[in-house]
Amino acid sequence: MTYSDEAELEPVLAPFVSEGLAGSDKVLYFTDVTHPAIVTGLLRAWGVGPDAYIADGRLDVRQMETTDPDLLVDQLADAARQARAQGYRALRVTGEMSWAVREGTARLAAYETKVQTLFDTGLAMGICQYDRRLFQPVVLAELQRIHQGRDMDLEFDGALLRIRRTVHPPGIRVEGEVDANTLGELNKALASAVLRQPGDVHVDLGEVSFIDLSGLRALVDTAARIGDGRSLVLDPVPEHVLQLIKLIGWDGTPGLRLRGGDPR
Amino acid sequence: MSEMIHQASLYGSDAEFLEMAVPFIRDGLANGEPVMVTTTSGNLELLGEALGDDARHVDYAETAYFGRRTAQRATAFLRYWQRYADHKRVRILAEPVWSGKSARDVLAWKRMESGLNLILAGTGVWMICPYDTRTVGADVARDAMRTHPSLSSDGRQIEPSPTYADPVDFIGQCDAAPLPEAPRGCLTVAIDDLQDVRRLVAEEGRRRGLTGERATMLAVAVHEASRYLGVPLSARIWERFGALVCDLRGQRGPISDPLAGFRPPGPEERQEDGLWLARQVCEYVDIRSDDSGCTIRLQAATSRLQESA
Repeated sequence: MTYSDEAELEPVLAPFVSEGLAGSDKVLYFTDVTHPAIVTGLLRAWGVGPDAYIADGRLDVRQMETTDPDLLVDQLADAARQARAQGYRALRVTGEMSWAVREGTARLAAYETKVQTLFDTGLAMGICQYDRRLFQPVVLAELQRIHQGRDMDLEFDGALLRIRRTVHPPGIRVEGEVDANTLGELNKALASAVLRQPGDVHVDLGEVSFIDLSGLRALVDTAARIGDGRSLVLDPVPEHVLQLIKLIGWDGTPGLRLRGGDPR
Repeated sequence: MSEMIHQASLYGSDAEFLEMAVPFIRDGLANGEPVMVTTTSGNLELLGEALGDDARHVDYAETAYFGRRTAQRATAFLRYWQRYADHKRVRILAEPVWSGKSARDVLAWKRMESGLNLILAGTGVWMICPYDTRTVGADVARDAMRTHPSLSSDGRQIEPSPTYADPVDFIGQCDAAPLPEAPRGCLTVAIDDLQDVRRLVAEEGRRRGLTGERATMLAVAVHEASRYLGVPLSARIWERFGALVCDLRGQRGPISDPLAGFRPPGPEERQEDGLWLARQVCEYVDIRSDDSGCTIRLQAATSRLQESA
């Protein structure tokens, strides 16, 4: 992920850390220049409740000891294997990437590719925090390319349906087909987006090739219940989905906005 | 809330039409009730002249454009009622187009007239359906008395119809004839998964020239009808003049509600919601059950349709 202030970290990192701890993962938070105590404070402020987990070793917030990309990847791999040996499902890793500015961004692509190879084994998953104030846009663009299609924003990846979290705008992106088999995943992603986002929740349906009536109902019910003066914004919406919503008469649902139309 | 009233009114002249329609409308306006008229352009003009300034308070629709098919019509009535749900009484004067309709369409509209007694039950709708005896067939006039519990000649009185038939019986008679056989050698596919049926229909639709959106909408309709029927099922697809036809045949027990899918989805999810959607998207949805299973036949416009919105 990229960010330019701490406020942008929360919607991505807070659920990443807390879902891991609520589930059966171990979490490793690498800082570069930030003191670990500051991160622990942030996690507390985000409602993650880190202290008990830190005490029993399940959450580890520490400053990285090396900035050599190869050594870093080795460390991560060791930590992931150790987590699995301790009975955890996987290791969730997040780290500040500012070291790469000092180290030189030339080796960054190689590092990211190696890390991705580790993540692909399923032993670990991670979010790399890139401060947009430190990195050249061209470097970020290249990293984006490497991360494309396999970033940690993936909420669900099935044969017919894929759901991703999005940060700009905040919400989810749904791709593929929604029917009774995948409805539960859509409901889950919507519910967690509504909890995660303090403001409007955006749902990108641009790549939805099929959605049945119960899928549409899930969207509309979420909009009707979102509350706090917020909206569920469907944008973009494929033409057939728009037609269906209007046909059923759900386009007037309170809390639902279509294609960035006026709030109702 | 007032009880639903559903009346037929047989008239043989413009004067007779106005003798019934004008008091019905004026009483409604005087009571502050929402009033809608959906009739021929000729009758709309007559009403406009007779009502003068008061006509400005009357909702209206040229009847051919107020619900293209029976399922759309029933939904349009329910929505009109829902829009004014804070009123005890909503008045609707509704005269369908009868002349020039095919025998199957005439049957479908008679079926709906009978079905409205059940679909609108529990609403405060007072509906009068005028029948122009100068143009409708004798069978249409006769069945109007069977599909409407009462008759009206002055827009005020409620005279019970001596030949009113129970809607379930009447609809049962409408559905008695078997559906025409599927043509020999049409595409027949065994379906185990809903995903397969929607893909099949979308592909067949596109192959037969339906554009992307229309093929997708048809796929949604068939998917929902299949979900209602349940898998496994057997799907057959063929084309005839004016329609792309899809038969779904499943093993489930009979569909006992003859009006399944005529009521639009509400706040709570119901099994028949998907069938409602199929009926909105398709031109015709016919259901037949027998001892060995149940068939839903969906018919949609082909790519040759030239109507404009």
